[in-house]
Amino acid sequence: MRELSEMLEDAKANPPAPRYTVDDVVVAGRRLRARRRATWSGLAAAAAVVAVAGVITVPRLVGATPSAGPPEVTAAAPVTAGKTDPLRYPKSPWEYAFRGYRAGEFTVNDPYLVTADFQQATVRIGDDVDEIYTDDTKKTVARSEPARNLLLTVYRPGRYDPKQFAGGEPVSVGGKPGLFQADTQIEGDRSPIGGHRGLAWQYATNGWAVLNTLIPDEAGRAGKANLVAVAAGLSGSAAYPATVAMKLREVPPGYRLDAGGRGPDPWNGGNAEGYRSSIRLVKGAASAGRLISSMTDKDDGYVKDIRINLSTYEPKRLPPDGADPAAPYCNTGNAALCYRNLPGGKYTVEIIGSGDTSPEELTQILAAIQVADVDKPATWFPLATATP
Amino acid sequence: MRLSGVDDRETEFRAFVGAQMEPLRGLAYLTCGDWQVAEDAVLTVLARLYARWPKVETPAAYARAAVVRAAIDETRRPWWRREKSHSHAMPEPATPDRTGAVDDRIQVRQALRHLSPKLRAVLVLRFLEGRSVQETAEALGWPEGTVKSYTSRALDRLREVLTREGHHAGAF
Repeated sequence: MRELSEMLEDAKANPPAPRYTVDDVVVAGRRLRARRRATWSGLAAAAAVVAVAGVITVPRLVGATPSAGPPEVTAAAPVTAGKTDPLRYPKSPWEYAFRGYRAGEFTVNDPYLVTADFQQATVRIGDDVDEIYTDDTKKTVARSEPARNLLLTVYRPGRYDPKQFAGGEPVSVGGKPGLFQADTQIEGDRSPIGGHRGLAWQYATNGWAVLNTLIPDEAGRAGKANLVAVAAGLSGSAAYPATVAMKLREVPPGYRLDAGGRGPDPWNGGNAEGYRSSIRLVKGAASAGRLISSMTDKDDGYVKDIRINLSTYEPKRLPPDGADPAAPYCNTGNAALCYRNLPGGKYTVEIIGSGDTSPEELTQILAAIQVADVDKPATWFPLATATP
Repeated sequence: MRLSGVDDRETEFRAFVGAQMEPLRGLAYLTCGDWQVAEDAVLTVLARLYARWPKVETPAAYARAAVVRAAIDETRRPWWRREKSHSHAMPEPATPDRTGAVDDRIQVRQALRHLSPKLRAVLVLRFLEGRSVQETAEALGWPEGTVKSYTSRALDRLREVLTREGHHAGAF
């Protein structure tokens, strides 16, 4: 009989040759540091960033360049904030209540994710991008997708408890009460270094909205005054349905629609450029408690969920040798992660279970999914009718 | 003692990575069950550590806990993070060796695949790292009750699978 520690020690023995070297780590660290400082406001700014970023060679760029997506799908069409209309949260759980807008150098995108309790939009500052790529001569050769600097969450009235902001500084947002906090703990980010500024305010009676900085704001652009200005620009629109490019025909017993939109929640990829649509199913009854964060899956491990994402095709995602390329198949290292490559080779649907559904059930759900014309959002299905 | 100059700090960081990268890769692998994903998790954590190097007082402890969390996160991230490339899949030996050590290793690895990354993370921190329930809870950012219940579930599951596979699992 062997001790568990000995078995674990042995299980990690005899590893394959590493892919990364110390140099790779240093380059990645420099790039990360640069990303946090990166702004794209002309050549002067780019040159400064490159000096910090160090050299990222062109071969790296090839692997890192995001695929281009149709702008009408992945980007918002914000309007400049002017007169604001009161935001009235829709009765339907699957409708959006506002449109994108601009406030100074902040661009609030159209909402992309909706749950029964809240809806979310990402916010970009200026022309920030996630990463800037340089060649050996430090010449900038490409920039990655637009940055998602902040997250705007608008909660259904009565569903949010602002206790995370209990120690916050009272502020007025267009005459409505708000709380600003210089360091707000964001669930899902357990880094020991804080710096996430946050603002919670009441957009309506008992209705709260929250602005969180997703990237630590080293440049101080997401200060109190700017956050208040962004918040003050939030305006209601006529309710309109959230849509997705896929329709489920099979859902395992006990599972219900929990969230959906153009991408999963920020902690699972958000509205990154590769995503087109996302649906999350959850087993069991909806929670009746008040929320203190917008996490769609708190890290308690007891939530049984199924996530289905439609995204651009990744060439390295190859079906097993000899298999029908259109047939669903599961990841070789994770049987709870399965795929279906769509005709044309441009898009893939992936399904991720949490241990409650077998690979056979997951592939069956995948095979039965009806897909719209992904490049034509007008053909997409209302989220409200996207599950049986 | 931590060095203070920019060049000194980078030298210090490089030495740290050189010494820690391999053990961290093993921790991440046990958590996620995929060498490639494990390496991505280690790279992510060490890159963050580079950016914060002057600020983190106990980098080894930080990195070991962070890499386990990152390995869990990698299994939950979008497809480009959670892939297991066929071309990089680690081949397992097809025939048993004379001592049975490789057989044992494969059996334990396969048994671990029946556990979710969260359950594996608890096992790794509690029994490989030797952390207490409280320390594990702090490292993972979970309530102590969750760690206790995960530990129990993980051990039960591992025993069940190993016993079913004919492995002697009585020691734990």
